[in-house]
Amino acid sequence: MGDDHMRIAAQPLGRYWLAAGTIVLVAGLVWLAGSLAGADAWAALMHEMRSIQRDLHDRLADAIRAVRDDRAAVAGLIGLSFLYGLFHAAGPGHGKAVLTAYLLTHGRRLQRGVWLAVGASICQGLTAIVLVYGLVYLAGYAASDSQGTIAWAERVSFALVALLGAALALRAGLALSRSGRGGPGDDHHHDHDHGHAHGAHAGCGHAHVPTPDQVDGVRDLRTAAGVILSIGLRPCSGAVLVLVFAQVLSLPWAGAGAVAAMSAGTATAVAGLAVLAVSLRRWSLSLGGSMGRGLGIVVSCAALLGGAAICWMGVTLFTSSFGPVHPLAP
Amino acid sequence: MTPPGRPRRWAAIAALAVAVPAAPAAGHPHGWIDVQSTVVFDGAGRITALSLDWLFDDIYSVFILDGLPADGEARGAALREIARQDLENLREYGYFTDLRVDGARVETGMVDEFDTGLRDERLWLRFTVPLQTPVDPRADAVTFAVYDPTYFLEVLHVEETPVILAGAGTAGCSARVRQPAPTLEAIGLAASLDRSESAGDTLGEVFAQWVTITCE
Repeated sequence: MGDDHMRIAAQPLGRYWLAAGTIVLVAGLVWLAGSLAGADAWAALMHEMRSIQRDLHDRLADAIRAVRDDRAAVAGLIGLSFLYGLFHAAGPGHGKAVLTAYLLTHGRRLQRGVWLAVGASICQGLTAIVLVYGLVYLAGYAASDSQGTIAWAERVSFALVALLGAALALRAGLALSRSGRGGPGDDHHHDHDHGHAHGAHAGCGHAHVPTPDQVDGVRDLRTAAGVILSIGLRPCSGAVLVLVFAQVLSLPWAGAGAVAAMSAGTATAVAGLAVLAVSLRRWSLSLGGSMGRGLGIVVSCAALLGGAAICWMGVTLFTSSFGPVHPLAP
Repeated sequence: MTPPGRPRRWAAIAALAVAVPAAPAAGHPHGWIDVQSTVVFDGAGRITALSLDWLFDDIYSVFILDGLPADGEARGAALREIARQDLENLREYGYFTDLRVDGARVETGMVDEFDTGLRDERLWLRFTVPLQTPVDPRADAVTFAVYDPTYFLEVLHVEETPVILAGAGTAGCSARVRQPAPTLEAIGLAASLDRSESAGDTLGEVFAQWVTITCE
């Protein structure tokens, strides 16, 4: 691990900023061009952008109908579903917010971040399939009646988000109070390694902590399960739409295939986000490398804030899920 | 564990570069209504009602139709009952219609005429929103919009014949549909709203098409 950290810290990260800067610049130019061309051109452009969303939605319905008429059309449905998953992962969704907040403040290992993203995406797809088909085939519901049960699955997921955030904040708070008393906390110790690169070597004063990686291993597994479940128990709404649509047309297998492809698309996009979050965290830690002991406190504070943010997210999502029902809610 | 090589990093950045511009293609709206509006004039050239023909999108339609009886007559009755319930729910939202005279919103009456059915596997709902007092487009500036205030559903006029002017007193009158010009902030807010989330009852207006009625 120490070796790994050193190489990460030593790599030039200017490229990230170059890429990020390019994106900001392009967005700025588009905005500038829009405002220079006048309100009408801007409105037309925005109208176009939003009609793409409508288009994707309609095409998904068309693709499922095409499978009804010709089974060979399933390849088209799978491809479109993958794109749908990829694009929708760029939009809203508590999953990305939870994962990004978690990885920015706690993510140490790049691969683990990617696996969390993939695990959560697969879990979301499976939840959708199990809920919709379970209710239809086992409980005899009409597919669209599964909405009410899905709302409850969402609430469980939001409550888990709140619990996860509280647990992370509590853990960070304990580590902080330990380091305040002079004893290094587990998180403190581990992250301290970043700064020293080969920090496990003698001289850093952490040798008295027994097997921190083992402690981390158990905790990480528990936290990983928490992250994956809190994200994945909420089925992606696009997946539910497709499953119900396919079920109504008596094409359950096509629906399941489409949801698998959607999950793959989502996993791809979210894994990209995870890589960025973990890399950003590592980079900022490498900047603080010379801070020594103070860095551990900063890391624990960040972890505390991240946990609190995740907890707050869960609480607001949970309470807003009891908000007013749309007048035309299906 | 091996450190991330540059190719992997660039793959991540490339994925993000593809995904970020697509961000508007994700949040609200989560359903669509195609609308054709009929502005109803009386013999004196005053507007007395708006008659709306809504056509719901495919996926929304399937959600409504699923579980209804397959038999034609029973299905028709079930659809009417759903439409009645929908219109009752829509009452406190002014039936998603916003008619303004010289910029001030006008009270609308209660809907009692409606019809519903299926067209190309899509659900349609037609109903007439009466105005409590008729308005004269020759004397005052009349504009209207049809929108879901929460922007959960997007209501857009059909491309072909979006607005019909009907009745005896339409001579010299015309209608023009103006596309919305939402701000970046509004677009960002809409894009960030998941299916079960809401930003209140003010977002939809920003994305509404406004129809202006002018009479010579």
